[in-house]
Amino acid sequence: MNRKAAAPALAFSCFAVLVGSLSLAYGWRAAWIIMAAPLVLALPGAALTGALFPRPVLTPAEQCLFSLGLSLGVVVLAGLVLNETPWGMRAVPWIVALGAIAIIAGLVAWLRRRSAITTPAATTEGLSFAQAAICGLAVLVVLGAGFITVRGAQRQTTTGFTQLWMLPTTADATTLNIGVTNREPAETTTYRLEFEADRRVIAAWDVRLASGATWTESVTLAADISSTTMVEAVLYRADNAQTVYRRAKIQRGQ
Amino acid sequence: MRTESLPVATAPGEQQVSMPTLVGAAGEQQSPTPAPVGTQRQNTLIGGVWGWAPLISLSSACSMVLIAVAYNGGRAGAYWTDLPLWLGLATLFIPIAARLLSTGATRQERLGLVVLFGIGLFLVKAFQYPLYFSYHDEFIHWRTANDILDSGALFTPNSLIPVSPLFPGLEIATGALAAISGLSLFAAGSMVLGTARLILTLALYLFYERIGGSSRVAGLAALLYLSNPKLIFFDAQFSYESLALPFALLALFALTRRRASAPGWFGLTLVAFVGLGGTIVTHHLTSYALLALLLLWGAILAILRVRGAGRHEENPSWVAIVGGVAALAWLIFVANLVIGYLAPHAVGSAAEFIRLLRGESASRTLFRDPTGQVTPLWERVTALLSTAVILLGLGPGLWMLWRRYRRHGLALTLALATLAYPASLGLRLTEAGGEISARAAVTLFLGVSFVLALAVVRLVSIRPANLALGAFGVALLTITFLGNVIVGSGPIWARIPGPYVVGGDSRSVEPQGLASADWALTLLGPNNRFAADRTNRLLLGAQGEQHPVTHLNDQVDVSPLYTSGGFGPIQAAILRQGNIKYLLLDRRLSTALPRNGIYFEANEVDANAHTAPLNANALAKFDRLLDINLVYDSGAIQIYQLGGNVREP
Repeated sequence: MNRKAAAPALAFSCFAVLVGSLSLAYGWRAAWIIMAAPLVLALPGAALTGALFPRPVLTPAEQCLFSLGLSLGVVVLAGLVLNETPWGMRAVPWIVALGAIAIIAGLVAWLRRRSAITTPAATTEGLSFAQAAICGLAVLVVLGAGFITVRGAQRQTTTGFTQLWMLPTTADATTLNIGVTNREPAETTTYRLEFEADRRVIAAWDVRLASGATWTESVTLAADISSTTMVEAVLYRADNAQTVYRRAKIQRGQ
Repeated sequence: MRTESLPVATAPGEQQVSMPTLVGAAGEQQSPTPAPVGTQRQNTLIGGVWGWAPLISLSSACSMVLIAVAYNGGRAGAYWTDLPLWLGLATLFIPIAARLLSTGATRQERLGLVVLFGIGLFLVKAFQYPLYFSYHDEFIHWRTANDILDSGALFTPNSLIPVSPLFPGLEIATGALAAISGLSLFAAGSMVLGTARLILTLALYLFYERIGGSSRVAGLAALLYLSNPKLIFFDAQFSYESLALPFALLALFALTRRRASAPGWFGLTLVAFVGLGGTIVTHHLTSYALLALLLLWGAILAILRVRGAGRHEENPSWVAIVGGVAALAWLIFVANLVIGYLAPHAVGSAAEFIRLLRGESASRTLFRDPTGQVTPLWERVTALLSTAVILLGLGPGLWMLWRRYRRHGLALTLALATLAYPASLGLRLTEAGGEISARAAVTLFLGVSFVLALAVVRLVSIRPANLALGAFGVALLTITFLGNVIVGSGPIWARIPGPYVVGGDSRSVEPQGLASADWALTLLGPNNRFAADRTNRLLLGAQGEQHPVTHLNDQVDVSPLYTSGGFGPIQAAILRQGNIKYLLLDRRLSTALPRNGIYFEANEVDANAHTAPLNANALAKFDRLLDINLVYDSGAIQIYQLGGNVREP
């Protein structure tokens, strides 16, 4: 990193820490997501590269390699250190640690660069307008391809299903939590849920659920039901009321 | 300023060696010659220092569209998916290979093309399953990353693979990004992997350029390395090797770049140590392979120096020794489980190979999955041709290496690694050795790619005068690449996303299994001890944050719970030994043979040799047992809560 590059990196690090603090305080979440990636993946390494190589001895490709490689390397090694601290690897310790590394290394880079002999930096010739335009088009095409594959994965046809569960919430299973979640492809499905004790229906519900919706009910068994009774939740689909669709059962007192 | 070239020769017809080491007036070495600055830019599509790279970036982008279409076709169960997939891969590879083979490309263009290819291949894998982790190993590391994110601490035990938390480099980086940004682990992990791929491609090119002293050799060697079977899919997944490899290449490049008393020596040494440290903390095998390579390089360099050669290289021995001590310390104080994890693989494959040599066991059937599905003929032919092209290219390549680089320690080290490659192919004939051979390719291909690049540069050039020869060279390279894709991607069903199949790893991950794992976490809480099959074990362990009981971690084989027709003392003992509280039953296991040969774990009876699906009646026995509650039912999947006295009525 040359002096021209060190100053923006330093400024960016300060900005990142500032935005991080503000986002934690005021919930600027989207802004922070954008800032977090450079803070973890590039800035510490870029600043360290500047600090370690004050003279322009690196080609742009080497600068890029060392910036990214040192960033990830430093994050991994910093993680080992944070693990030994009482704060652990949480968001705030990470922001402080990586921000401090980036700022301190950026300062060192700036100071060392000032005292180094100035020689022409290795620079890269840029793209022509036509080449930049075609690269931009390529990026758009890749984004389009990404969109195609993501949409395809989201719309992948899978067999729909319904989840039924019944869980005892007390040790003697006198209170039970029963639930149904509709994950059928049809938009809304109607069910009939019967709650049985020793094959005798003691409660029933007609449940109409939109796709993705969940219904739950807490059931407390009456005192006159034996403690060794088997209780069952039996679910039927309204469009096929003769066939048991899902079943859950609890053997009490075993 | 005077120029001191590296002691390598240039092959006839090759572009000027582009790695001069500049020695400044004060005696300090400077960086390679910068690209010409300030030249008048012409507003043309092709030309300048970037040459054809921008136009090829567009063709590569179009190849991504073809691949996305192929994957979507697979998801819809279409039969035509092979055509756009192979067309897309060829569209990605051929223009880049042709341009790298040509003598007219600039250094910058070659570097750009290598980066383009590396990122393109990464997207080939990323587009397969763009919504969530789906490879077997990804679930294991997802769990480790999730534990770090939840607890803020390292080394939480992971029952899916106990050694995963002991090498947490990838998970630390992913956890840091996820913790700061609030992104999901999948999004954060994908960003870390993308960055790692960029590091890998840059380091590869610069590493080969440093050794070969030629941008053409560097471009082709990097292209060939990126085409190696393990890198295309396996090393693009969310798994420790995917980050350890870039770290290792970073360390290698920094060490080759160092020159004593030159500016930047301290910085480069520090970069090497960060790369080495990152590798040691991230992946066991990669760190041991890197250290072995460095020690071998140091030893060869010592021998060369006795003979008056190798003066231009900085000896990496002391760095290797410091790294070795660090790796040993990590092994003893943190990761001592790794010995018990790796040793059975090594011993087992060696014993199997010896039995094979003695004729005491049959060799593994290649190109046939455990269910008997055979790879199509053209794919078998391409894969074999690919290996043949590589093996045939090694002879002239090694000859070129001996002629031009026999006084170069690292080049000779890579030559020795290359010699081990044909031997490693023999291991592929054994069941256990197949995996070791494939893993070894990641290291051995460092040498193989360099040697092959030397052969290609010597034998083939694309110039107006010999376009036919150039086309022949591109065809050979394309065969090598496509063959490696066939070998690296495994059976056809694993290559393209599609409907659910039994025991098919990524193809078995679907909404019902994921929803069951979610339900377990939400309703039962984390870390309940579960018995489950291979796929649901991964989902429960990663997404569901449960503790699936395994032979690897708990020394308990749960498969007899499912395969037995009844419930007797053996099954009761398994529940007791594994302290199993819940059992997940996936009734789809009784509908087909497992595509990868395993229903539960590798030590199950008839592993890789099942001839019939699991008995549906054996699976149905749980409905009649006593002291067992059916607490969850989603159709194909049921979850049973087990009491302390499960028994037949």
